[in-house]
Amino acid sequence: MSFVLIKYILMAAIRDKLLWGIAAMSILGVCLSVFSGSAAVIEQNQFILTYMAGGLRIISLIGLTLFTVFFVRRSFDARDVEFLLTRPISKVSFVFSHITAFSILGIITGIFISLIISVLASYYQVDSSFYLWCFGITFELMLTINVAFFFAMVLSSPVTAGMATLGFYILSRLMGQLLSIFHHTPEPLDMRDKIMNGIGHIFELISIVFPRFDLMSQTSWLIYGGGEFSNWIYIILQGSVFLFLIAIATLVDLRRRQF
Amino acid sequence: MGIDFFKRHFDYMLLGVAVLANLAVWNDTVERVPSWANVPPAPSEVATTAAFLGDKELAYRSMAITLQSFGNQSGQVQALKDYNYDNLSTWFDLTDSLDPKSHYVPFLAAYYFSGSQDPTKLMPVINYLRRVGKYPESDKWRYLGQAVFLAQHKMKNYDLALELADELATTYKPGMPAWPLQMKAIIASKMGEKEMAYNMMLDLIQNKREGVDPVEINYMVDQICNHLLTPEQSKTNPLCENQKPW
Repeated sequence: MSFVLIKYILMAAIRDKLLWGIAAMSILGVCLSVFSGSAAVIEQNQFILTYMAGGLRIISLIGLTLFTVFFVRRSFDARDVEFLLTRPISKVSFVFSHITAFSILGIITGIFISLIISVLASYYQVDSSFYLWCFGITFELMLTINVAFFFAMVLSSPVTAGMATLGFYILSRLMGQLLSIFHHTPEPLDMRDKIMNGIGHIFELISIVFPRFDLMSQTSWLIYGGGEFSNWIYIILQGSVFLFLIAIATLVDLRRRQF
Repeated sequence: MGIDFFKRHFDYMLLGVAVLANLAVWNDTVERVPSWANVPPAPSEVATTAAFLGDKELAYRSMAITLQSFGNQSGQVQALKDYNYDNLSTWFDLTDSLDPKSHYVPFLAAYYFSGSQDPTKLMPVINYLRRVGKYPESDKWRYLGQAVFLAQHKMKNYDLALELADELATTYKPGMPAWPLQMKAIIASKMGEKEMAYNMMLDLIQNKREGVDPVEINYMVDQICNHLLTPEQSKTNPLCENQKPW
């Protein structure tokens, strides 16, 4: 791993005003959440908290994804990647330095969101579940930014890489729903049921390479608590295993690339 | 000269034609405003959750605000009697499946949608409050109390009110006010609508403030001081000291 490269990527994030951009958009998101939540007759805090949690999650995710895909594609177009690989940096070190730097950006953003949410969430005294939500959202951002890195390495257009990342995110959040839809009939009676079950099996296969983001940070934890110790284990396990997969997939792509 | 002028200003003429064409279309569309299509059937739970990327709580809060805003969109305000209450009940079911712990939609059903000028439509509201009122969370029983009130005083269905009062008594736990246990006797005593509402709300405010949203307490104080009591009674009631008259 190259600390110089990690520092270079973090400097690029500062130069591109990524964190300032996320902070500015987050302030806008908070204001809109307060405005929308105030329309509720009762439980206004719960409304504001839910809108904030949902809004900040998407704002951060889009910010991190856009930065990553444009940074990586710009590095290719400006031949920075080729230059870096002529230096004494191996391809393994190149990939893992990028993953470390992007993960740091994900963690910083996760901490930033958690600090904003903590202002309202502290009202509900669901301490352990609040920390669990923060932990989950940080992992969610960390995984998504590294998926963006993978797609930016594989796909040559930043637009398609960005769209692919957002598509991946949406599918990951909906995977639980999709699996439940297609497994609606455990004992099929007619052809339609059999087709649905067939699609269900295909989705089961697809879900192997999709993390279950819907299980990683649930907004209801912020209001009612209910997070359990097993959720912590699940987040760590799912996060590590998927990060490993995406790192290896990126490395395989880079090793096979002809410069 | 004429042809030269035409050639030189052809682009401006085209721009003028485009503006006129838009003006013609605008002339037709300007009068068309969104019309009240009444309460539509609620979407399925799966579709709603999917629309909010699997975030059930966000889906619940967004659907609850949508429910609150029905009939009050684009500057057109509709009377509750014109609402389709059968479809409204599908929204109660949807939100209930997304978050059964929240008080928001039960509150809307109990104190807002129950205010229909046509009490014959209130059965879906009563059925919903009856179901929610038996949930194990503390403070949910008061929606069953509200269902009893609606059955007796709005729908004038005494048999249903007695049946609901029986169910309300089974929800009794230590720490609750006494009236859920006494509801059958209250119904039998033929207590007046205002008197019953006053006693129910006052008992709740005085004995069960904890766990109840402060806005809901304020709502009840407002109902007591501005709707249930006469202006003279309000002046002498200590509960209404800081209450602004309507």
